[in-house]
Amino acid sequence: MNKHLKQIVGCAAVLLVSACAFDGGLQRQEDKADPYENFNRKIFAFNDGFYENVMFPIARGYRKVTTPFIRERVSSVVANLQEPISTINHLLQLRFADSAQSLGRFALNTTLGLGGMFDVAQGWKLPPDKTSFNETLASWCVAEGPYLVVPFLGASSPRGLSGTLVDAVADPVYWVTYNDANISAKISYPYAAVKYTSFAEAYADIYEDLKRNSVDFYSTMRSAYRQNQSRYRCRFAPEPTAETYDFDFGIDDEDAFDEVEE
Amino acid sequence: MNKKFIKLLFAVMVLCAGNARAEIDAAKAETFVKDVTTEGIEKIINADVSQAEKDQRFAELFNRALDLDFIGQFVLGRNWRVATPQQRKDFITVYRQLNISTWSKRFDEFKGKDFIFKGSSPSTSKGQVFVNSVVPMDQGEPAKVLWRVREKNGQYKIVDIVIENVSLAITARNEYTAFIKNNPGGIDALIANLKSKI
Repeated sequence: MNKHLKQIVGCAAVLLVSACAFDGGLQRQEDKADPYENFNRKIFAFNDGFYENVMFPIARGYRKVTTPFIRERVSSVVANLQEPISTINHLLQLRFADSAQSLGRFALNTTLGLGGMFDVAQGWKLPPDKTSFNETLASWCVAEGPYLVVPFLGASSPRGLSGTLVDAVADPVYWVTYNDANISAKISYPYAAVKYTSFAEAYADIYEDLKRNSVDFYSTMRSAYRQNQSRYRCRFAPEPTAETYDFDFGIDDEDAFDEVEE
Repeated sequence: MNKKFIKLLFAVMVLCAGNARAEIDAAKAETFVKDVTTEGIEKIINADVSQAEKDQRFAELFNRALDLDFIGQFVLGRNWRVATPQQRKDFITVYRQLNISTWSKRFDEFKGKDFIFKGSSPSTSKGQVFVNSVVPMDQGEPAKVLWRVREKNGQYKIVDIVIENVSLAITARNEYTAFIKNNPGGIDALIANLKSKI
């Protein structure tokens, strides 16, 4: 694809999904319906087939030919390359100290940590604190919007997808190789392949464990994704009276247990 | 006047009783969860015994530390009310077995890991508190694990575990509610499906 065309398509996609997210903001916050459930379930089934038949076999092959030590170095390098994304997003969230911290982590781990292979910054009291454009949008009160299952990527929302697209552009591997199509193709694709393989290797087992023990895996994943997203706070919203993970955990009629207990 | 006073006194008594019930000793709850995790790590994960013995110890600890009757009823949600006594009993039994078998398998993943306790947070639910902990990971940020503890008659029990903001009880409730809604077999189909996973 022509480079400029790519850029335009990218921007248009971000604008489009952001606009959807803003539209979602007009809806009541507690409206957590899944209006595209039928469509989402189809994409979910497609993704499941893709993971089980393509991604996980690749991930397990990768596991077979590497040791845990090597895999840790690989995922550490990938995580380090994502650090500038956190630096930019912390800045956009006006969390200046956190932004400086992730910049410091990137500088230390890239140099002393041998290209990010080792997290030396952690030992220097600079622990990881990952953030994303999705969180930036949430902090500026953009609503999540309806639940979406994105082909290949999985659980998301208009806001989540905007975040993913913007973060992909903010990835240093993307902008460092941007001006040379030749280098870009040689580095970007292998980098993406390594990134997703490393990710799939880490999550394949837990994905299959959850699937095996679930009676409706789609609902399980949707529920987990939404609860996880609910931790983000809008900066202009009043301090909530309870944490999002707190809910009324009571049962109406405790005597009902007398029937259960032997 | 006298009647009014008695009414007021009665109201105060009810309120106080309500308060007394609402209070839970956070420090005791924290000690309770700490003891449970220590026992799990020392007597199960790191113990030099057969897998069968480990599974048995896990089941015993699980039944002692978690209030599965309470959790099971919450998880079934509005369907609990329409379930027959037999369905309720069968559901609790199968839900208990499934959780024991899945978590005893998952438990080994905690090998070499440790829980670092970080105090407690209040809950809006009566007689409950969250015990906060983090589990340092080999890489990246530590995982946040919260234990919802409920006190009843001086006994402390875990009623939910919240991992990275995801409540296991809420997730199961949403999953089972969706299954029953989409399945003509309803609660019986759910029980049969869960049974097939053990």
